[in-house]
Amino acid sequence: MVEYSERQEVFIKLLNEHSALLHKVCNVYCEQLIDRQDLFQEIVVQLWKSYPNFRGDSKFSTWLYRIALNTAISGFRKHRIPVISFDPGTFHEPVSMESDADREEQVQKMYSAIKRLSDVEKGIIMMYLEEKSYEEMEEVFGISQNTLRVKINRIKEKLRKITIAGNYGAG
Amino acid sequence: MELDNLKDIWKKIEDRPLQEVKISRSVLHHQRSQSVVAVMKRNLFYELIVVLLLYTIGISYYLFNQYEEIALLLGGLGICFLFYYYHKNQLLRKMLCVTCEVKTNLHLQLKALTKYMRFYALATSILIPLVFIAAFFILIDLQGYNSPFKNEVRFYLIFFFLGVALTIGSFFANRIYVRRLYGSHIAKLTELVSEMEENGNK
Repeated sequence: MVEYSERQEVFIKLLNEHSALLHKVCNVYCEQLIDRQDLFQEIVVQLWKSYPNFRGDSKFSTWLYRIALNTAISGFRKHRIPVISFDPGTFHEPVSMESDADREEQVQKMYSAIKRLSDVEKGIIMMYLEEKSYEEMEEVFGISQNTLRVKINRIKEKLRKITIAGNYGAG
Repeated sequence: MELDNLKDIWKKIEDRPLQEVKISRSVLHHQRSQSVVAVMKRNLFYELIVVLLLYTIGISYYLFNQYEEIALLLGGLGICFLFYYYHKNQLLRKMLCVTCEVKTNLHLQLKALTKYMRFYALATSILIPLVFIAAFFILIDLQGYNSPFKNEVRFYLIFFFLGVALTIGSFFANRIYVRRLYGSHIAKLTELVSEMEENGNK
């Protein structure tokens, strides 16, 4: 029991260290707040279920990326009807602050542009923006580094076009 | 918006004050997965409980009333259903591997879901006629030797043609139903897998 409690404590500590990453995955993959909350919860459930088998062969962040992206891409069902709700205990909606309005607008524009990519492209660009190495990306996606390079160039071009078109808000 | 600008914006997200709110242990208390596979597993389990309950009541009833052959028939059908649920559960277990590479996980899911759909359609197309035939024997048996149908060829012919129609009908109905249930998910997975398999020369 003590061991279980200790394991929980270590796990929560690790989650907190990587919480920004989890929030980013949820923001990139979900439009509705309720979906983001559910995806966050689902990722945590999957992480906690898989945690006993985490041996530390790869970095915790790489392992977390795998589970988060697998859950977001193929293991999660979004709500069909948009529902507005807010539970501050489980998820924190990015709220613009007056002093930070410009930055918030930039962030929203960035999310809108990324949301127009395919699910696989979203994951790749997230890791690229996090400045993860190609080796780590290969470990997460199972795609060769050369292919990843080509894909990233293609995504860059796609994002440029989205930005030029100026309609990334429609996302 | 160049990618270098995006990188700057991306990094700044972490500095935002709301991200600093700590995740507490309470998030681990809602441990019920809502993933597609977890929901399918739960539905399968509930279905199994209902079937087990119905068959147990049925078998007990016929045993109690000394219709051993009917109880045996229901027992045989029950075993077929158990195999059906066991195999479906095995396929569901292979369907999601969140710790695998994204590409491997998508492959596994697509392969397992395709098998699952095929098995579902095939098994129900076999089980429905089996239940029909069992119902026929139960009816004959309950009527006993005095059954007015026993020597009626017309009765057997009607039952035969009804059985054939039911088998064919259930096969096509199941195919449509299964496609409606999982068709869009299969299409999404196929698209994702082909995107993952692009070698970059396209």
